[in-house]
Amino acid sequence: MPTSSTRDQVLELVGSGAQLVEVLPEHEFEEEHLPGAIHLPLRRLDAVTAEVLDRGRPVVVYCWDAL
Amino acid sequence: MSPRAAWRLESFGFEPVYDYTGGKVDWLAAGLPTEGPGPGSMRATLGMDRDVPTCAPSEALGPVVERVRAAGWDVCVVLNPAGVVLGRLRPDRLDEAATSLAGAMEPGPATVRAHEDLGEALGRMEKRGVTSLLVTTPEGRLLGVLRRPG
Repeated sequence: MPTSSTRDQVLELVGSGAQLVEVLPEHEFEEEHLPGAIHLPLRRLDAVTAEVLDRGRPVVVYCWDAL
Repeated sequence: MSPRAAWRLESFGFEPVYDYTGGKVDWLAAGLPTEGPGPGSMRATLGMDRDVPTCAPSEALGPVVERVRAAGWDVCVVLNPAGVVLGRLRPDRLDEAATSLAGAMEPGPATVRAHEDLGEALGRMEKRGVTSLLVTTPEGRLLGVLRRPG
């Protein structure tokens, strides 16, 4: 079950080597994203596209807000 | 959107997977750095002064007023130990009856988030006749102050 995380927890996770994943559409990612984030738009997220991620590191997923 | 993505990644065998529920808007509102050209308009963080004087509510009023004036400021932000804004002290608008800093400060000053549009924030200040507006994180921690000539 995915764990909900706060900003402080995300900063800690990223500092420990977690990979950040933005799932918003292309133009939103291109405009601005969190430092080092990988782009995996939700609409194109499947078992194949997800293989760009490192299975040996934690994954932190984010979108625009909590809605 | 991100909860669905997190569940899907778990179903593909990734673990552990975390969902940053506050998302990009929470990150921006906290004034943290990003990559990319940005929204094409200036954010409040670009127009703010970060070196605004601060003080604790337990400090003596007189010395704080002197320190703020000597630094050339007309405002001092009152913070708790966690850096959260408790109020604003304006040495030029002090109630003469006030004897303590906690009693002299203006509680609950208006604030703006770091990611808000700078032009809109300055326009709002002008409309309301406000000369300074505090920029804070979503948790109320001080980031800086926007100033507009009075």
